[in-house]
Amino acid sequence: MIQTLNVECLCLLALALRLILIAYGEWQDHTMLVKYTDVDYYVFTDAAQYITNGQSPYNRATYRYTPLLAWMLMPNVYLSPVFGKLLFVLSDVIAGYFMHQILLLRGVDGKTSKVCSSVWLFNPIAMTVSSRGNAESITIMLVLGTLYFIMKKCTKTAAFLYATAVHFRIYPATYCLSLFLLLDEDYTGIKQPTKRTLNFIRSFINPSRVQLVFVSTMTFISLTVLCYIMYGQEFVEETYLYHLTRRDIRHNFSVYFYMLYLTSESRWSFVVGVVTFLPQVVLLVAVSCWLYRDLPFCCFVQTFLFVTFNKVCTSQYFLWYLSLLPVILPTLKLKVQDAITMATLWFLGQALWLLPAYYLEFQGQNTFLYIWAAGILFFAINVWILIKLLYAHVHKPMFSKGKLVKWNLKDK
Amino acid sequence: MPPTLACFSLLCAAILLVGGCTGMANTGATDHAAELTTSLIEFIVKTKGRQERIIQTVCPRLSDVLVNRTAQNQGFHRDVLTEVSLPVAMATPPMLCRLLLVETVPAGMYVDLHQVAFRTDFGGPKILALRDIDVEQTAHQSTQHRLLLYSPLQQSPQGFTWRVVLPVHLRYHRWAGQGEDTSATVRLKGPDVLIHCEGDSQAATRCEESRLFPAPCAADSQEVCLWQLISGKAEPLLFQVPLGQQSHAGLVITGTIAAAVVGSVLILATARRTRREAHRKKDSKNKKE
Repeated sequence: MIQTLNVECLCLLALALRLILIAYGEWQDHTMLVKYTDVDYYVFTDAAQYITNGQSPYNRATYRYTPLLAWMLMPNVYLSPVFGKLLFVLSDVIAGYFMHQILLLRGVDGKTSKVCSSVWLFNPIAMTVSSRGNAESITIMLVLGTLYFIMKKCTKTAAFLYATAVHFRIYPATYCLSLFLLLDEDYTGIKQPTKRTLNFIRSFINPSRVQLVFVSTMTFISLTVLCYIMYGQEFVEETYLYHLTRRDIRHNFSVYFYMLYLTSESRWSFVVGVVTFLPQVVLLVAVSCWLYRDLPFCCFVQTFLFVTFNKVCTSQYFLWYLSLLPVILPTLKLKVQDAITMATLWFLGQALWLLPAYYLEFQGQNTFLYIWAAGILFFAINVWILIKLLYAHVHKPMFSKGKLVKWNLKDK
Repeated sequence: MPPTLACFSLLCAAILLVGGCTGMANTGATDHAAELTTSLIEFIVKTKGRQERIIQTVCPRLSDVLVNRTAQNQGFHRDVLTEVSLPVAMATPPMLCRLLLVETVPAGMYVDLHQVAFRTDFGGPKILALRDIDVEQTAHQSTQHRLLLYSPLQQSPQGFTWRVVLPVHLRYHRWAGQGEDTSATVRLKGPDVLIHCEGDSQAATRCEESRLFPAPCAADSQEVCLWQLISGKAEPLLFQVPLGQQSHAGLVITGTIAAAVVGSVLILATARRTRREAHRKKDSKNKKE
């Protein structure tokens, strides 16, 4: 059926399904004590309410996002509380459309592109998350938009979208080195001399890189300054510093959780904080330098590493790299049974963690050591999955002589 | 200070002094009463501002009032069920009574007011917090806080029962050191049960000043009423919170660091190898062309 419909129809169908879920969510919220809507959505709406009263959105406890999000959700107060959800599901579907266009640009045939983008458009996890009122879809749409416009060589548009994505969420900042390195002579098409030292330094600077750095820096600074003028130091603390210095000792998927809990309030906590930061930084820099030529895959690997090696890991972070999976699927030379094994182990790892976590949180049993062991196991499964994907990936540089290189999936 | 506010403060100070003088026999209860009055007055002044008057209460004869407390569920998220039974002689028309529960929530737990607001639609109590509650803090970095629970009275043939469910959450506690208990105990004391009655009735008696407290008439009301403290102390509830143990620290720290290092090295090695293979393929392809 996917072959017969064009991508616009698929997007409309995906949007319709999400609207149905939103409608169901409204019904459940009104009739049952357990809400369909995400707790975060109520936080956003409350923050928007504060803004309509002329106050700071940070008056709402646990609001840790850019004030722009609360501004965008002001129609929740004036029009309908459902407005924000409509915005998020629309971003979700646009993200799916971007995935399709990125694949087409890369030379993947129409049918495969539609199947891959359907993996996102009709994914129950993606549908549920955005219809529950989670704002991740906005960042995901911005990241995919960045990739799309880079591939079309619209450097300034890509830089603008990239800076906006970083303003919303910190994790896209990890792509900055790969984006910079990508815009080399293969991207611009202009050969540059690299023989002498002075020219080597000059070869780092080309018009595309200047555009990228200038536009993204100016956009990010403008957004930050605007928000700082409006809300002051509180904006910086809640939107950025909280996420960077966050030491959540409550149980979560991170491999470091129990170690951070046991070393909290001790003289080792600073050292431990640095130690947990190192693998993330080293891996991100190394992968940026080695894999930048195939940008979608590089971004996927970087996001996967960021989430897996992070001090805090909750299930909504998984969407950050799952949203890049449809775009890299055609480049993976994987047997179906391998793919199924990987997916099964990934879900199994989470289930094995959720079991002792349930006993801790809802039965009050002391299962900390089991949660830790399950965290190590899930971490090992993720490392194994990444290694398999690295081996399965067919590396094809995106640009050559200033033009986008189309994949020829037949000669792998 | 505006004159009406001064009057109000003087009135409250007078109640405090009278309350302090009478009932000196039980100094513990007096301290508690004085402390409760102070925090209530602070809250009223902060939120309601100027008060023209305080609505007086009629004090019915108090026979045995039964307060029953149970904790439901297990784990970190609990429901505290409080049942207050009043005999029918106490609050039959033309007397109209309202009940107010004052909870002192210890530092080891918290109440999520947003969650409570959802439950109000489904029969839950309306709650006022005397102070902001930080829902994310750990136990040792938090302090106790007071809540005012307003709920309508349900009439039954035996009398009046007031049944309210308060959802509480236990905070994460600091880890247990070597040789320490692997779980912490959080103690929730019994609530202060206050009643406010209006109307004419032969059942009314003279009000005892030491048992009168000012508080908002309702959760969304700007008016302040006088409330009478009813006796009927409930036993404190004990909650156990599991703790991380320092005895695990050696294994956990070594194991975690080993996993992170091994994982990083494996990924770096794989990424480097696949990159080299890709370069080799590209070079051989260039040679062919």
